[in-house]
Amino acid sequence: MTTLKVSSRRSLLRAVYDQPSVIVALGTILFIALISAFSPLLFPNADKIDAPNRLLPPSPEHWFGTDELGRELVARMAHAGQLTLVIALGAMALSIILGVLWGMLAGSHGWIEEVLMRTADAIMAVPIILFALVFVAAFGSSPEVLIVILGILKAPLVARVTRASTMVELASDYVRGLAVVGLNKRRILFAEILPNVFPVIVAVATLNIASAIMIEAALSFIGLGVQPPLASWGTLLKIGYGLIHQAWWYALIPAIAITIVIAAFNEVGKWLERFLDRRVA
Amino acid sequence: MDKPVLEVRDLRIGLRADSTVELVHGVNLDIVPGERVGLVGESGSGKSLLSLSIMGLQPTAIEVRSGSIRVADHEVVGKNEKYLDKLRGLTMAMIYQDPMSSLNPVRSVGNQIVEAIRAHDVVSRVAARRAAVDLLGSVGVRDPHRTVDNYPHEFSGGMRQRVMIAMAISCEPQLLLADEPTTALDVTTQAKIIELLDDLVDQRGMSVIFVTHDIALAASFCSRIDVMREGEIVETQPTAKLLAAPRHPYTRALLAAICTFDTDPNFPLLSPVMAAGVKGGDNA
Amino acid sequence: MTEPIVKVEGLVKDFGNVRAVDDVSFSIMPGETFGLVGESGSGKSTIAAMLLCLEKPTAGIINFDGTRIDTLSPRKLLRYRRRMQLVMQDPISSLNRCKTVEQIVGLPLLVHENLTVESRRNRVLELLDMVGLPGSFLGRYPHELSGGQCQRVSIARSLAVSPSFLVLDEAVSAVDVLTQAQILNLLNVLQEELGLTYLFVSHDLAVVRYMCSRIAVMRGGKILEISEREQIFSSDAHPYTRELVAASPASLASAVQDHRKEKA
Repeated sequence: MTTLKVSSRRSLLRAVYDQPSVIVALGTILFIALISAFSPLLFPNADKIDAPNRLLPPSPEHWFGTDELGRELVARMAHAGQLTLVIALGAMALSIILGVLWGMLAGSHGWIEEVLMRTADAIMAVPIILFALVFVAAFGSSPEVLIVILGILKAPLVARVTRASTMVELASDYVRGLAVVGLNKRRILFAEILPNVFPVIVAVATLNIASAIMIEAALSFIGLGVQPPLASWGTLLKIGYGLIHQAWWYALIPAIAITIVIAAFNEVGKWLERFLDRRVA
Repeated sequence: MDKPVLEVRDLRIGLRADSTVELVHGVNLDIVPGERVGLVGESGSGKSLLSLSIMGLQPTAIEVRSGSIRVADHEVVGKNEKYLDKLRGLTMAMIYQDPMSSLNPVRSVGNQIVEAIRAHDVVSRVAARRAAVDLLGSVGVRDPHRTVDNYPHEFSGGMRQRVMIAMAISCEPQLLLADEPTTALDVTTQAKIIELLDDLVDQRGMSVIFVTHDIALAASFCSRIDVMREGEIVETQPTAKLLAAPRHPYTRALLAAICTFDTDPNFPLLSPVMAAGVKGGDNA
Repeated sequence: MTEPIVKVEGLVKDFGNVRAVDDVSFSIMPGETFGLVGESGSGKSTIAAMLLCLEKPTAGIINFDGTRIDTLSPRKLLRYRRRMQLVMQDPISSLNRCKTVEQIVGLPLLVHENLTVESRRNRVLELLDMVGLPGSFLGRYPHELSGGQCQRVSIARSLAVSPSFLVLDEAVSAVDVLTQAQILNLLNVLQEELGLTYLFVSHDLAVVRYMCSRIAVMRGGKILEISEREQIFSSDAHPYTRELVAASPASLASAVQDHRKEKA
């Protein structure tokens, strides 16, 4: 059978090009990320309290309306978006660091595999809210703690995928060759196998971001997450929910934003999964 | 007199997605009843694509661009699946390299043969089953009355290959395409399968296209050998003639490159001159 | 009286209840190409694995250059690793797909020697030249190379730290005939130039006969016989050996032609 050799970068771009929904998703993420990142520049007066103008509906002057203290909701959303994304990205990074080590260890050392993987199962089985409740009660609910909570919650998933991938790679021919060359196990795992495992991790990680945003929003919504004066989209949603009769837009806007961002990350993550699957097969 | 069982004229095959890529360049091939033709070539020569296209089973990424394929005087190119389904089994059948992936692992062997028979013939289940048992016996499967209900994984590699052969000949095709049928088997098993094919083909008067990369194997089974290279048939001759006096430099290089029991161990296999003249192997 | 470079005595390997290698003994002399022939399940690959210390024998002794290696600690074994290397069957999957040719061939140098980046690169270029690959291949990845080119990279890597013993485990079984011939030629040239000893494992009797001066025939974990090259074809050979010879395509070709002449 003729083998078709396509450079990997070209095939990646081509694959993106073929899927308009992914372009839209990536564009959305980029847009929101940029706005959030540059929120101090774009919306310098986010905290300007303007009591007489409180709870105004969206209009050409106030794009998202104003909140209960007269602050521009647009500005608040932009700043809050920053926190939402930072927490989610932090959680994703932590989950990768923990999960990859976890999974590689489990996949390569039979004696410890059971313990590690059953722990992973246990964490995945614990109800999220309960887990968060215990942690927050013990350590408070600063964004750092939230990142740790979410990172730990998501690490088992990464561990599972990493373990499976590691086991497949360990059974490959090239690993035999490496053993004969004289590499020790640790070197084989981290210098030779890890680069091959990483693409799959990226896909899981992207999905993890979506999940982390969701959980953080949920936790903030019930009061366990980000606390005032800090604000994330989840906290804005909470406040808005309380004022839903007076300000219908106040809850709707964060809700839509959260939904869109989660959908976008999900879209990109799922597409990455499919794309990488095809290339490995 | 003998109308050709297979007539391929100026066949061009290429990638569906890229019209600049052509994989088979205008191949002509004729086979008369009872003839056995070896299609010999290295990987990438197009030999498998050619045989799959004759059956109408080329992968969806591949398309037949132009030319004609006539099997028992029926045109294959451009026909729809329904038509080809009817044509296959009755006029032509194929056996593949890996019997495990071409047999359904969750159905019994007998079941699959019965299905093949009943797809082409109006026959009762009972009669088809009897035929299946007979077929298994004729391909050398031991204790066919019992093993007919076994699953593919319960057979050894060589036995599975026999089962696949049984399925292929169940509807008495005129043309049998064998695509590397013994490559995955041990040498001793391979010899037995070749022996089996030899007998079956003789008994039933089938024509055979034997696709392989092993020219010695082709020489042991086929009356004529067509050498394929980079999408073209570069030489076609009766076996004995080809072995004794190959005409094309590529064929000569192939024959010089293989190890036989007479090859002199003290000399290199392929002289650099020969290899260079052919631009084959992995000359970068 | 030269000492054998590899000496194996009473080698046994069990996988659970299955005895893959059953009381195998043989010696390989320096500079020779020793053939190990058998069909699938004969145990030949398991023996190769044990020689390279990839598997621990259930019983038996493996001696390399006078030293017993099957019981060495990993640290002591490392010193022996540079003297015995492996070329595997599948050209592409035997190389790490995310590494370049330079990284692959240079890896043994990283492990066993302390060279600067530049001297490493020079050595890699030297090795590529030895196996007939151009220096421009340094930055290429395995999937950008043909099967034959990948096998050459494998060979180059195996020679990086100047081993004395090479295990060729079906090293030419998965490449095309023309490539196979070129690689066999290359292996013979390298053997002469570098004074290498080969263990040539294969199922193809004709190739084994071409390459090896002494051949061990295996079946079901046992060595049936060890004989000189041409002895394999004599009528005194073991019945299974004769069966292998008869079943080989090279023999088949002439046998069937004769059979047909008779029938006609």
